[in-house]
Parts: sequence; C-alpha cells; structure tokens
Amino acid sequence: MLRTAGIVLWKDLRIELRTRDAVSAALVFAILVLVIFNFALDVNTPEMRRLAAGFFWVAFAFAGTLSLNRSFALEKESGAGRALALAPVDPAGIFLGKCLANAVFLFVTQLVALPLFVIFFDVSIARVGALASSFALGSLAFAATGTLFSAIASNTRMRELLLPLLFLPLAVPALIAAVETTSFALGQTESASFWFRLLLVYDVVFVTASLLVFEYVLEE
Amino acid sequence: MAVSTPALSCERLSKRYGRISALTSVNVTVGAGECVAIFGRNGAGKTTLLHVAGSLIRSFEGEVRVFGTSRRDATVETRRAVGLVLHEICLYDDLSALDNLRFFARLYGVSDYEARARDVLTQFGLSERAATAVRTLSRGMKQRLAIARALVHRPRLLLMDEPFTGLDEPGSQTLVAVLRDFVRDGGAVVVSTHDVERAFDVATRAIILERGSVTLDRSVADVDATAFRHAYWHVLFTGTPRA
Repeated sequence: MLRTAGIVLWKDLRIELRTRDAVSAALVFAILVLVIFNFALDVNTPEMRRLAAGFFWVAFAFAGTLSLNRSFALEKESGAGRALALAPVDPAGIFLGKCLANAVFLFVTQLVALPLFVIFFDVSIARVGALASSFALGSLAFAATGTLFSAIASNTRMRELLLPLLFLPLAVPALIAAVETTSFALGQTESASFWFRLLLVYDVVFVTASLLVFEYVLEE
Repeated sequence: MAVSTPALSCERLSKRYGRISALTSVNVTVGAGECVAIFGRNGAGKTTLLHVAGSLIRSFEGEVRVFGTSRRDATVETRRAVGLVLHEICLYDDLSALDNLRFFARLYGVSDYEARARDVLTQFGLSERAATAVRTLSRGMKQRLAIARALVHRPRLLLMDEPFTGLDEPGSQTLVAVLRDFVRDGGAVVVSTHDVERAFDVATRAIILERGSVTLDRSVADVDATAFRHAYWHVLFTGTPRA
C-alpha cells in the first residue's frame, strides 16, 4: 500500500509542479477572501483580532474545496483514472497517495497565504511549532475527508456543487479544532491540548475509514 | 497432451443496458498466440465485449475468464496480465510522455521501469517527444502513446478498441509489427476494428458481431480478405449477414 501511495503521490506532485493549478487556484481564492474581510470589516480591533484564526480558516475552507475538486477531475481527463483503477494495486494505496498530495497542496497554500494574513489582521505568531502543527493536522483532516468525497463527487454531473455540500458538514469538527489550535498559536488562548487531540483523532479516524471504503468508491 | 488455459474465454456472455441487449449469449475463446479481430457495425457490441473482458464492466450474465480466473473476481495477477487500449487515451494530459509510462510501469510493478518506459517509447517512435506534455501531442502521437501504455507492463493479453484510429500509415505499420511480435512471443490479442486490411495483416481469426451476437468466426487462413471485406460491407450497410 505504501509503495502505491508513493507512486501516486509522485505523480500528483509532478503534475502540480508542471501546472501549479491546485495551489494557485486555492491561493488566489484564499487571498481574495482575506482581502474582502480586510476591507469589509474593521479588522484592526482587539475583538476582530481574536477572530482572526476563524477568518483564516473560513477563507481556507472554501479555497481548499477548489483544490480538492481538481484532485479527481484530473483523473477523469482523458480517462486516466480508468487505467489507474484497473491497475493491480491496493485501492487504499491510491487513496493514501492522493490524500497526502492534497494535504501537501493545502499546507503549501496556507504557508504562502500566511504573511498576507499576518499583515491584514495585524497578528503575531506566538508559537511557531503550534502553528505548523495546526496547519499540518488541519490540512490532513481536510485532505482525508475531501479526497474521499472528491472521488465520490467526481462520478456525478454536479461535482463542483456536490463536493462542498458533502464534505464541509463533515469537516466542521476539524474546522473548529483548527481554528482553536491556530488561535493558540497566535497567542490568543492559553491552552489548546484538547483541540490538538481532537484534530489528531479526526485525522486518524477519517484516514482509516477512507482507506477502508475507498475500494468501493473506486469501483463506482 | 496438456491443454493450456485460454487467455480469454467468454461463455454465454450476455449484457443488457436497460432494455437494450448489447451482447447475447456470446461464446468466444482466445488462446495464447492468437490475434482475434472483431468487426461489426457501431453498437454491435464490440466495445462492450472488450469492456467486460477488461473488467471495466462487472455486471453481466454468463462467464468470462482471463487465464482461467473469472472477471468477476479479477485478481492482481490477472489484472497484471491484461493490457487495455480504449477509446479514451487513458493518460495524464499534464504529464510528459515518459512520465506517463514511468508512472504506469511502476504501478504495475515493472522492476526495470525506466528502461522499459524508454524502450516502449522508442518502439513507437516517440523518444524525441519523451519530455513533451501529452496535452501538446498530436492525436496520432497520443494514440501511439496510449498503445505504449497498454504494453509497458508486458501483458499477456492485449484488448484493443479500434487501435488504428488516428494513426498515420507509419504508425499503423508500427502497430502491426508490434502486434505480430507480441503474438509470435505467445501473447493473445483481441482487437476491434473496421479496418479489414490492417486487421488481416496481423489477425489469426476474424469475428463479426451483429446486434450482440457472433455471426461469423473464422480462421483468417480460411478466408479471402477481399471476399471477407465484401461480406463485412454487406453487414455494415444492410445490418444482416450475406446469405
């Protein structure tokens, strides 16, 4: 399974390095949302600064959906996904490879959008390690749920509409935990150990569940 | 004398799409070292037959076996033994020609994947386009690459749906030469096509499918290509076999 995951990850990273479609689309969208928040709200007040992590993750949740939509759309192009599905490999390996690739894209998008977020919302990063963990665990949570539902939605006519409808409600616990852990990293709360644990459990549960059911999704 | 397991055997194979019957009790057996050309009008059931044999369709009546294993429970080994060329090219548009072949070779567990990918590219005259993104290749080049992808993992059974489509004369000649070598080395090929001349260059057997049923199944050695072409045209234009 790990060997297959590595091959699929290599393929998705290679395509992204050539096209930069997933990261650039998500990044532009995230920046646009942050700019709109910046101009629509008076963000330079202590109350707004306390909500900054929430604004960041709201922007990222919608931007990430764009990136996830593309994940299986590229498998549909020219029927390459058919050849992939027929390969003599464990479907769980295909899921893991695509999930890790999506997590990398989402993480990179967050890192690139971070300086703009810091400037717009006038926040400082109090705990760098915690912020990196929050982004990494949050990205994996989004990628695990999003990759599975991207695969399901890709077989439907209204996949762009269906993915956020299926995926965002399930991602709400991860989104709340990610906001809380990012707030902690920005020095706005004193402790976030519960939220980090929740994010970790969410990652383990959704990655495991997706590995188990992906075979049936792929067959459809 | 031991009887070897057929590469592909279809027994009473039937497939319906709702009310439409795509295949009706089809019996076809393809042994190692055989190349079977399947002819038929559009909608005669050629693609459905190849999709069932290639495990793209799992819901059907009857029995389909590849190297003795039922297609309903296709194992890793039987998947590895089959190469498929479909209407779609089944390649990643944004990857280079070489990266596509590397990817599928690695996925199929080819140990010398780098050398094999380059060999197959050279075989199909695409070595100069190795680094070119598939998106920018011509239709014929994409088709050659699609055939190269189906061969990169050294399958023992090759299922090809109209592989000559989009190929120029040198491309068609290359494909015929590759298929001849493949069959001579003990591989089995099932190819659906409308190109009687090309098919007769390589096929050992010819089958005509009409409305989901086999109406002719002959060894190419027993059939005159010109007479067969006339009979096939009769089927194409009238929808019925010649009396």
